[in-house]
Amino acid sequence: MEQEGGLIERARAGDVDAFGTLVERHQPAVVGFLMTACRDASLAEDCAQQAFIKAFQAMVRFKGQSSFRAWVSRIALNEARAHWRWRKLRGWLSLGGGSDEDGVAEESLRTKAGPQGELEALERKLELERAMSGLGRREREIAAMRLEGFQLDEIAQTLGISQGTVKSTLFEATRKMKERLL
Amino acid sequence: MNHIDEAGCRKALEELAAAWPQAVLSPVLSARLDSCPACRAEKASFLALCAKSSSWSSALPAAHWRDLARKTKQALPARRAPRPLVWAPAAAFAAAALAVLFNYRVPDVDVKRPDRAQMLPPREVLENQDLLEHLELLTEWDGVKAVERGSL
Repeated sequence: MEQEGGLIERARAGDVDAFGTLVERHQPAVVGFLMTACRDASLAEDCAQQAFIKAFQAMVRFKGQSSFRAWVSRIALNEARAHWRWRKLRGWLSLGGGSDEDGVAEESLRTKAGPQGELEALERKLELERAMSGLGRREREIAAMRLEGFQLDEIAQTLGISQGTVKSTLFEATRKMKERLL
Repeated sequence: MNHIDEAGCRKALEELAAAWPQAVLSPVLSARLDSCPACRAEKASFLALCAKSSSWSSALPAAHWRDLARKTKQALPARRAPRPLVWAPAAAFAAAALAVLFNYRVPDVDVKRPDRAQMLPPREVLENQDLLEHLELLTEWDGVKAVERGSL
């Protein structure tokens, strides 16, 4: 398995195959955390794809000050936030309309799951999802990244905050989830 | 005061929360939490939460991720390898052109200015200034008289 540094160097030189390997490695985590953060699987996949395309175009500007995954995640989160702002504005302009986001998310997740498989795991995931619905936006983003295996420093880099803030936010998030789940 | 607000407990519980969802605790942290009954209870509920979070990433089938990665790779635009400094000669040329442009001065043109004497009224007018003013007064006087006569 090729080292990440080598793949990044090749991708910076315009190697599509090397970048494709980076996509295969990191897309599940980026989509996964966006899916949890924005509760819309299709939106998460679209935003993640856009983020990878933008990242590829801007590879020469990637200096390696953060991890590649944190860098792409930050781009993806900006994409998603722009979409949320637009959706909020659209909802405000049409005087609400009150969509049930959780319902949409659950339906979306069920559609994405394979027919044969993992329905039990999906149910557990949805249970945790419901517990996370009581979290604030920042708490939810951090919890979602943590669930996808992001390290504390990666989360701090993605969100542009300190590791101390990540820890204290996680503390509040886990406390709220325990109240709902246990 | 809530025990969580106590400095040592708060810090230990933040470290505990940072271990979510893998629940990998260092022996030092684990011993610290076990030393306080309230922290021990927090640790137990935390481990229960971690157990419920353990199957998180297996919800979508691997084939779905492969398909998604393939679609993303297909959407990547063709991008040539960067060619650094390819713009340098063009930039140097532009800088030189600007330097020439800004240092260029319009050459002095010998503009013939009119003689001050030519700009004054003719000499006859200047010499008879008093007479002209007198005539002007007379004209005005005639106007006044005309008004008095009612002819204007």
